[in-house]
Amino acid sequence: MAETNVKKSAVRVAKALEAHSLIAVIFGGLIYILAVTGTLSVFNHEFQRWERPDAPEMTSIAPEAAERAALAVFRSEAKPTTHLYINFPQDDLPRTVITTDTQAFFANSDGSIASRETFPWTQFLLDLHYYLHMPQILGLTVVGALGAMLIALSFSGLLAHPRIFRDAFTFRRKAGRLTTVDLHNRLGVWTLPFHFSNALTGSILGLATVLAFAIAAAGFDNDTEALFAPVFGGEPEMAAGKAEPADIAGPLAYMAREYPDLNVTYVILHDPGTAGQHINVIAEHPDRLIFGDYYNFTASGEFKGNVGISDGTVGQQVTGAVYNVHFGNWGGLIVKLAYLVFGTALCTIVASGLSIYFAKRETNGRPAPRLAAVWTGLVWGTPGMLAVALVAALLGMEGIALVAVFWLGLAALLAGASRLGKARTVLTGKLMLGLALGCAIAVYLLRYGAYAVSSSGIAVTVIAAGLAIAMLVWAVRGRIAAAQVRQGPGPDSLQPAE
Amino acid sequence: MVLWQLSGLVLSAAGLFALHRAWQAKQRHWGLIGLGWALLLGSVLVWGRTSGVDKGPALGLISITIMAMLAIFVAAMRTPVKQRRQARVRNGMADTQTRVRHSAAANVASILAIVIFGLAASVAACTALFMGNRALGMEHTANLSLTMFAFPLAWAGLATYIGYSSSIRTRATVLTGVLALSSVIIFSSMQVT
Repeated sequence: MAETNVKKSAVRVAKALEAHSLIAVIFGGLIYILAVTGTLSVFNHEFQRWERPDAPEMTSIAPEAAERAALAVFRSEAKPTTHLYINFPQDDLPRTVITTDTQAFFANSDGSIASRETFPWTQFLLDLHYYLHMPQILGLTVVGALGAMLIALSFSGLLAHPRIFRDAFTFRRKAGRLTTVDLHNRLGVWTLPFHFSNALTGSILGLATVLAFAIAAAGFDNDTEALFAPVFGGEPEMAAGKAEPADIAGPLAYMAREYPDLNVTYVILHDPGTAGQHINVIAEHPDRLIFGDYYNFTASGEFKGNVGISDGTVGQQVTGAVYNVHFGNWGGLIVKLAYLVFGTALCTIVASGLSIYFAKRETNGRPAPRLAAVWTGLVWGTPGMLAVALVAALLGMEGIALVAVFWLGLAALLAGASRLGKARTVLTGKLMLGLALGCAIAVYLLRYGAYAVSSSGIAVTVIAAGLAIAMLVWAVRGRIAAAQVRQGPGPDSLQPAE
Repeated sequence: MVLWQLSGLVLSAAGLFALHRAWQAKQRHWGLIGLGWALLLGSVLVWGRTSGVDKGPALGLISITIMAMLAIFVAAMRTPVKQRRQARVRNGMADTQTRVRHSAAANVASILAIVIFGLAASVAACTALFMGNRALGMEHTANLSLTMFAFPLAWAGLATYIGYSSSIRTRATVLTGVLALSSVIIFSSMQVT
């Protein structure tokens, strides 16, 4: 009887592992790219600042100055925009930006316009994480689907791990594949709250459109806006006829007076210059996970109430927290650093998972050295090509050119990896990452000079330089170790392995 | 505030320490295991006092996870390195007999089932969930957020099941069953609303 139970349990674990491997092999590569870009995206404000260290910075801007800047941009546009945004200075991005449907500008603290807002590499990074550089709805859906597959990997991983509590603190050092297995399992289990909530919130954000289409078709006459309006508030009908642009300074003064504890992050003026124009002020609630709440005003500055994301129904409050929980921008630098640690752990889990798969194949007499090398190429090539794209962006490339640099470069790297083999691919990957980061810092210093050591530039510059040096040292040490191995086995020929 | 944060950190550390002691014990020690989890729960509750109703416990979970990673790191550093034998490379033919599923065609079928039928079935099931709850009078925003959370979980659950199940017939039956049941719920709730 006991033997039958053991057998059943072994079959269950084998089947769960089969499911885990199947999903990982198919989706692992793209999930890894999302994990790397997602980890970096947590710091997108810091990267935006770093990319344009010469942009004007301020801790706050007077309501009248913000209004002046917004109206200056609005009046400069040949075709009137349907939405006019003012992004206010934040702790991690102390800049004022005026955005229309087609362009964005940095504003000075006196309300004059400084220069066009650009951050080509950060935008490239965000587009890669949000859409994998595909058309928006398709890309969002694919990314959301990959989030669902990451959840499936958590499910199947837990099912395949019958000794989850017995092994809770087990870690065998310098034990070859066993170390990789322990790393994969321990990080996978202990960081489960993070990567499960992150995959779930990511897939909710990505798959919302598909689900909304289906529900709207079944119950809302295909009107997806009607589905989301009770959560985020509806958009009033556009009224015909022209009008003077709405009062923006008034609502801002009202928020400062009536809600001094809230942090106004941005303002949206809908249909500016028309009879139906109205204003949303989005204010952050410092003690909450929600991204903020919408405070609505008429064109004359009359307060019409908040939408209720902070104090409305449970559904509104839960939905309002999804974005911040995913991107880790709800608790300042400490939480961002925690997300960096967890994100790096997720990258390690994904990378080690497929390494274990290829090692197992080898042990089972079905080696796939080329595929294993291609996987190693992806693991090292993704951050490497992101660094190469950074160099290209600093040299003036943007948009589709950066996309081409990244994807074509990665494809070439994967093709090369299948010829180089795993060990040389690791070495090449480290060298490429170190050299590309070094080049990026050099180009940045040449381009921005003293700005590189300003408050906008110093942190990222120092970290990138440190990372570049670490990678190059690691690569050189790896090369020396490889040369020693080629010269013959040392006295200690018993290799630590399974 | 700082006192609550410190208490939260101390409770997290104590909870993990208790769980580690329970793990080290030769016999299963339910008392220590219970104490460990209770302390971790206490830590989350204490962290709840440091900020809002949602942000406080979230900070607690982050502190526990960071401490757990540190505990693993310390455990790894304290574990002596053993000399181990090289892994024995098994015969490829023998291995194929022990594999649960090995045909390339079966893998392609699984991929298609996960991506296409898994998506279709989970969309249908979640639309049915929303429409059914709506017909039962559930509040709209709660219903929508419940459905939005359920959708990826349903797809992930189906994907896991498809990868796990070795019988194509059983998989087809489950997927068809989900689609059929969802259709019935959607159409009947459309009549009600």
